[in-house]
Amino acid sequence: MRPKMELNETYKWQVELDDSTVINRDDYVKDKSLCKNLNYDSITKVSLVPQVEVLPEHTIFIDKQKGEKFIKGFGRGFKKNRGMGFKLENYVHCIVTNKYKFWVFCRGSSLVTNTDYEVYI
Amino acid sequence: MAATVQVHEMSATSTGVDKTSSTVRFKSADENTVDNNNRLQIPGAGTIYSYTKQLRLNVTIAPDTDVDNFVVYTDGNNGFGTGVGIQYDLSGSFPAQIDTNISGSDLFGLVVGTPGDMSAVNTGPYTGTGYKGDFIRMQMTIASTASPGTLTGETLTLAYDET
Repeated sequence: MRPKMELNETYKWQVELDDSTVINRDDYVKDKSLCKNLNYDSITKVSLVPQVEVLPEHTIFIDKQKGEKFIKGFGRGFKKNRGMGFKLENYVHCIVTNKYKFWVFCRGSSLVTNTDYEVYI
Repeated sequence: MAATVQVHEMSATSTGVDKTSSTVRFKSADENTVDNNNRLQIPGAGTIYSYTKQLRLNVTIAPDTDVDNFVVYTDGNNGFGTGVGIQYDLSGSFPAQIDTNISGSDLFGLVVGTPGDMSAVNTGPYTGTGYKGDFIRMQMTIASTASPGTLTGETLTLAYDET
């Protein structure tokens, strides 16, 4: 029987650089120096790769010709207590560029917003 | 990005218990047992106050890099009925639990657009494991206009960012 997957594990990030090097979250966890001196301007593609078969993969291409740049990525967890304890009820990943924010929810849907927009559930 | 963040309830001391399986129940005693003992009595006049409850985030599995931006909010609607409210304050250290008026702000004023900042004093980003961020202290207020009975719980949300 497959162990239960936490909501913050349904997607893992992956980036591709302009020299075609691919770095993913598992690579980073094994060797954190991979991102220590990483030039974010060299990132051309950012993907959120599903760890559950039924979920879609989400990929954004950084359009450097239009001045687009990758800024950062993060995850946001929401712990809610509805009377049965605080549970991680939702989790959203966010890819931040200088033009927009791309949000991917743990159950597969996505949202594009302005850079000053925040998602709280 | 795979931190495990728990919400801990403190009573008596600053070492709390993980609230993964039960509600936060306001009582007339300083304890975190969820039962029908030490219920709050509606006063004949004026207002009485529960013992305070304090919540804080505890990271039990460290993030890949760090966690930050701890916030707390409600849905903005106090469904407890007439005469019953919850007030709160935020601090960077653990004050002693009391059952006298903390003169706090309305907890239901904390909503998605204006959440409470639980990283204001003990600022992030936070690495490693352990208690991180600030304390939210809450207290139930019961006025003489309240009605008796068991209240339906309200939802409280604590959110965090991780990289």
